This record gives sequence, structure tokens and C-alpha cells, in this order.
Amino acid sequence: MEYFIIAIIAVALSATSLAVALCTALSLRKKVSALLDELSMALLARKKSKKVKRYILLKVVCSEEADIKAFMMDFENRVSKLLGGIERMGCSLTIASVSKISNRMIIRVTGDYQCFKKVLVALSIQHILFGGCVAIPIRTSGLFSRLRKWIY
Amino acid sequence: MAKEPRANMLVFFESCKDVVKYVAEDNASILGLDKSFFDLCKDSLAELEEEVVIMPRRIITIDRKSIGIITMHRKLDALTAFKPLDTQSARVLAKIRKSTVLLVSPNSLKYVNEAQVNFLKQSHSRKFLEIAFGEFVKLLALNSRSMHASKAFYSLGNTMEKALKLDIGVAASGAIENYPKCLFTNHIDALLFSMGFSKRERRMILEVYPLELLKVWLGEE
Repeated sequence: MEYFIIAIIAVALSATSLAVALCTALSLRKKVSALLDELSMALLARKKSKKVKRYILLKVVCSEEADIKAFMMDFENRVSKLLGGIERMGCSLTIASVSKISNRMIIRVTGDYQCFKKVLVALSIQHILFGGCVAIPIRTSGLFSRLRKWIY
Repeated sequence: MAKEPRANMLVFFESCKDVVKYVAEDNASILGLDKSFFDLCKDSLAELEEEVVIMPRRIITIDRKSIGIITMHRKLDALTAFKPLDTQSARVLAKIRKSTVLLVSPNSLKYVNEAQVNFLKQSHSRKFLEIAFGEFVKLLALNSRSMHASKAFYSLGNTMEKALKLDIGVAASGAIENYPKCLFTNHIDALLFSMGFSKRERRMILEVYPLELLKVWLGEE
């Protein structure tokens, strides 16, 4: 009789431990898969927000009455207005170099690749909306040193 | 820097001096001027130092009422582009047995679309599309509500892609208002790039097809 009770207790204990192990494994699996999902999402998000830096060489052509200095001061504002507030979240534009002798300038565009395309369009239409000087994109490159020789 | 043989099919100017300025600043080798302006500035244009081909241009709007003009207005003193404003006139233009230029603008985009490109392909003579980029850019710059800009650019992109695929000539013009409120060839190139056209396609639009169009027009003359 004693052996029978011990056997029942042993079976009950093993069944409980099996159930506990199963529950733990299931919850762990859920947590691990959730963690993996989060990690992959983070990796994807990181890939999506990968920033590209491009340089654009511009030639500035002004009519006689337009002031080229004022244009260069106002240049970033003009392009930013055309891009709009939301687009500027992931897209920045700065003047990297200016040559007053040749009226050329190099601008740095930082953001995703679409941002670079949008900046090119904004540069192309800014004179139609605001008037004054025309900015003609001549060359683009990922390296500043490659464009420096064209600025004279 | 050597000039690439790029073309800007139509630019509006206020004075003859502006043409000299434009030619000095832009790297266009083929330039289209309005016929009346071309006649006014003939003498000063002859003195240009740059190697540029300047051609007189004429744009004619065609609709159901004025469809008869198509045959009457085939004068060879200017390269004429027809702007159809209904489907009937667009189809008639596709059937003409002479090389014809069709203007694609936001107004005519509804009629010069992918279906029209198929008709142009079936034509017996060479047909060309001229994209009035200036008018499309107006939609972006001036907040026009007549047609959504994205819809217009999407439709334009599809039409151009289909035309390039079927080897229908595509050329571009940057006229908006008088110089300097116009698109330079580099601006048109940037727009094409942002629309997703490859380097080869951009070269075809800006260099190869305009040269062919010029050759066909001069051959007719």
C-alpha cells in the first residue's frame, strides 16, 4: 500500500513539474519571439532612417537688380519653405562652401535618398516662386573633395 | 567644360539680350524660341558666339471646332507643336501621315496619355511628344487647384515611360514666363531624375530625341 501511495505521489510530482516546465517554455517562447520582433523592427527602422550625405555644386545666376549676397543668405530659407516642415524632419541642408568670384556654391544635403531628390526639385523651382536668382545644379557627389575643384 | 548637346525646346524671352545671357549660363545646344520673337531678334541672334542651334517654334491649340487648322498650319517656317484639347483631335493628330509634335501639358495630359501613345506608335510617320515641364512645375510652385500635382506627375511619368518603351520621341521644354523664370536644361534633368528616369532615359529625352526631331523637321523643309 505504501509503495502505491509513493508511486502516486511520484507521478503527481512529475506531472506537476512537466506542466510547470511546459508553461514556462510557452511563456518564454512568447517573450523571446516578442523580443526578436522588437529587435527586427529596430533593425528595420534603423535601416530606414539611414542617412545619406550628398553634395551639390550650384551655379547662381542673378539678374542685374537682384542681390546675390541676399540670395545666399536667404537660400536655406527658400528651400526649407518649399520642402515643408514635415519633410525637414529627416532632411537637412547647409551651405558647405561659397565662391563669390565664380558665383558658385556647394551645399550639403543630409537625409535619406528621397530627400536628396526632393532638394534637387526644390532648387529647380525656387526661382519661379520667389524670383530673384536662379540656382542651377551642375554636379552632385558624395564627396566634398570631388566638387571642390569645380568651384574655382 | 564641353557643352552636351542638350535641348530646351521652348523658352520665352522679353528682350534679345536675354537670349545671349541664357545661352551663356545654360548648357543647351538646341534652343526653341517663339516664332514672333525669333523674327524680331533674327539679327542679334546671328551674332551669337556660342555654338547653339536656335529654332523658331509655334504652339497651336486644337479642339473639335478648330480641327481643320491641322492641315492648314503645316507651314515649315517654324517647328509647330499641337496641343489637343479633346480626344477626337488627339486621335486625328495621331493619324496624320506626316511627322507631328504633340504638346503634353496639364491641360492636354487627359488626351495625350498612354492610350494615345499606342495610337502614335501605330502611325505611319514618326511622332514626337513635347513635354511642357514649365506648366507642370507651375502646379507645384503656384498651388494650382485645377489638378492635383501628384496625379499630374504620376500620369505624366506613365505616359513618358510608355513613349520611351515604344520608341516615340520625347523632348522637353522649360518655358513658364519670360527669362529668368524658366527651367534650364539642368533643372529639367533634375526633375526627370526625381521622377525616377535613368541616366540613359534622361539622355534620350534631353539629347537624342530633340536631335532627331530637328533632323526630321529640317528634312521636311
